[in-house]
Amino acid sequence: MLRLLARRLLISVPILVIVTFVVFLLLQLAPGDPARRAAGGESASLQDVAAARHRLGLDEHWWVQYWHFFSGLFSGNLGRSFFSDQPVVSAISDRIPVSLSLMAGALVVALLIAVPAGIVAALRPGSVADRVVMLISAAGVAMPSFFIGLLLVLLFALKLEIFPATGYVPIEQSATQWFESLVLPWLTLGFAAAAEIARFLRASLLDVLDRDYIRTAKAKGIGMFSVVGKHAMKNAFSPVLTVIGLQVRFLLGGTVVVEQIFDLPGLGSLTVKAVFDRDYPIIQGVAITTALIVIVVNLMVDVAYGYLDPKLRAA
Amino acid sequence: MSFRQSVTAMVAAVVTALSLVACGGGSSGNAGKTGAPTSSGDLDPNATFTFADPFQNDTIDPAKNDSGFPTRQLDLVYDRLIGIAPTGALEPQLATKWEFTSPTSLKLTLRPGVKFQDGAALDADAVVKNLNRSLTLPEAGAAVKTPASFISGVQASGTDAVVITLKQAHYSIVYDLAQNLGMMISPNALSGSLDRTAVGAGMYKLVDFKPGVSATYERWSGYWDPSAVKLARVVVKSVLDGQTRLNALQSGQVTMSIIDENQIEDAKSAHLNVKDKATVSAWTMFLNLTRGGLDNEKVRQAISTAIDRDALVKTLAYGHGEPVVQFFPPSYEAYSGDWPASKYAFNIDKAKQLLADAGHPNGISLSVLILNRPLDKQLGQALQTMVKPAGITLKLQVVEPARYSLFTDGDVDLFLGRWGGRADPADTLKSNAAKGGFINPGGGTTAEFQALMDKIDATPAGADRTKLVQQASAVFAEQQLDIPIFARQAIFADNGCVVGFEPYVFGADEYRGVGIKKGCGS
Repeated sequence: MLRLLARRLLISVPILVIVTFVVFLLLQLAPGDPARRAAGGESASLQDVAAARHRLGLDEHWWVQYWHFFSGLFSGNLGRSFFSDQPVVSAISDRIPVSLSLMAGALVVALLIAVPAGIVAALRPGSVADRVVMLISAAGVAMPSFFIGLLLVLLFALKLEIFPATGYVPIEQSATQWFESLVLPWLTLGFAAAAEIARFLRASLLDVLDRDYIRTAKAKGIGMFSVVGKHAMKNAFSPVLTVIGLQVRFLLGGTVVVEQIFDLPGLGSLTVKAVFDRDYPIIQGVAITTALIVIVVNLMVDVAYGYLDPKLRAA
Repeated sequence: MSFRQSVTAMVAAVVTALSLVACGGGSSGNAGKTGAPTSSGDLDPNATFTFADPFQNDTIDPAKNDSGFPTRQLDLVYDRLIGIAPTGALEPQLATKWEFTSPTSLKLTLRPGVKFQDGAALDADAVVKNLNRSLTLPEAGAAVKTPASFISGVQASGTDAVVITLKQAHYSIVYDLAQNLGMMISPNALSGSLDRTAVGAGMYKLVDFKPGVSATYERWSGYWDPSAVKLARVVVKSVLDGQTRLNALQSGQVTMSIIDENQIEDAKSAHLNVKDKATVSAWTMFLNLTRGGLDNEKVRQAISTAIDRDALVKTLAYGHGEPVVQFFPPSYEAYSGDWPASKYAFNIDKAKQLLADAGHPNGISLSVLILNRPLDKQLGQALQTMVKPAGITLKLQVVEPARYSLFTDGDVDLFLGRWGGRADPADTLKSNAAKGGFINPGGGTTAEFQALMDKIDATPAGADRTKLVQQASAVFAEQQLDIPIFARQAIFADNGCVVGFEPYVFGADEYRGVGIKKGCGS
């Protein structure tokens, strides 16, 4: 297992390098000029734009610019924002607690909905419960998160006035308010993920419940709770783990929209602004951070595979 | 509300969700909070005013802010040498008096006894240091660099007066001193970074600044005009999305917000208080007179005549706009009453005739740059359809905002967008239609208009200058040097607790004297 993890960790290094390189190249190819914005916008003279370009190092060859960025990685220096002059590391560390809170909570919401729903549907295939679960999960997959988010705001914030419509309260300021500020974003983001996970869990569990060892367990008189919880779920959950790993990527992308709807100061809103402004250092920093998050999640999925499947532990 | 209560309520709400959503209709919002204007004695001195702003400040340094950026946040912490009223009229602020002793020499008399927030004295020496910073700061943005380029030197005259020497006559400098250039920073803070900290002589002290997220200000007890400071705290949140801003206002996270035209009815039905005002911010076809036959006045007039401005105001601005053929709305002092929008009333036959007279009996084709934003695109498509019957073909090129320079670089015939407004009405005309105007690629203009602009340049602010600006605006309208379509309104919605706020005609709204009613909004 340790060897597997070490191998995965080693592979993640070139992945990170490739991510930084591809993002850098895409930025070079994208139209738009951050130097003009840095020089003061529309009314800046050509001389001022040229001076800003020199100051930001944008007049150097692209490979020199890339090398500056890449070499900075080793000292933890991701540069500074072109426009706010804020260190990229500081900009990201200010925002990442919001995005991680959002993603982690959404994943919990997704699992809280998906696991019972998937089990109920799998235990009674074709029943009313199964059809309801499948119908709701189809809706969850089909409905865009902004639509779900706006409906939740309309209902829980504007009509019932239970949760705030917008804003984020840091957990260190107030745990209760932090929770309240994130409930609707969690539900928004978690609903679609839940739908996907529930569908996969249902299919996987249906397959496992049909196997001989389950039939044997039932024949031995083991209760349904133990059959599913102890015997079936361990095997059925392996493919679901893959889906959960994929959902993390989906959740990462979904934060961009959800942060806009709920005015959350996370990585998503930072990225959108940086992309529109062509704030290259921030975009690069966010790309590295999100790549790292995905790599870490994949490693966690691998560890979970090992827990569920002893054969993998020996690999 | 506790966690348990929240969860219980949420579960209960899920059960009734569909029926309630189906009910629709108006939200209870903040019903009952709106009321008649309140006297200042009824204001809550401990109130927090939270504003949802669609703009995002990257830096709080006045020298680095983009020229098109609203200065409402900066004004909280930085007082300017010259103040400006909601109508656009100049008024004393840190300087009590200003006079041009010659066309190239401006003398400012400073308000005595004013201190910066760190205790430093606001004297002539501090003003000289500030203006010298603007002259030499390499990262200075166009909002400061452009007006500073007219200054050849700044000298203290005693401790309470400053003389600014200009390279050439530039009477517009007084308007610049009422904006970023005139924002005074404590001399003790000038040597450090001012991106995220601020020490000014303004009404409120900056206590927290998160670029692109929020800024928090607290009352400064040492402000020279205590009657202007009526809040304990001001929080400005950057909220890009219009619907999110309205939601935040309705559910009580913010006190006031800028809203869009299409949200006015929603805001009113949620019992929010809506204020609007016509601004010097007109949707405009910015022309490159050196391309596409646009140097011909008749072609420009033909395009203007082929536009049904009333229909566009009704549909795209939901009735909250003002058809114009000059940059200024009728309520503004620089507006020329001789040129109402009706002078270019929608008339396809007349437009065809004008085109034929201009030597284009078979019509013309023009390339149009449009920024990839919903309203910009809708307006572009509407205009494209509208002018087609007159024989005018608009080829729309939709690009990201960062590629706006395709117009200023001279790659397209015209740009369809919204003018942001300027404190000095002459600056609006100059920037758009005079030689050297930054949004006038190729410098195309007419001799008559340029002569008037030169005259304005040589006339100090006052009644004579205003008259000249009106004349220039009339010439601009007659010759359609650009083609304004309709003036936008600044639209603000609040929870009914806000007192003393008035939108500015050119967009640089301030919170001077703004307060919150006692016992309101809590």
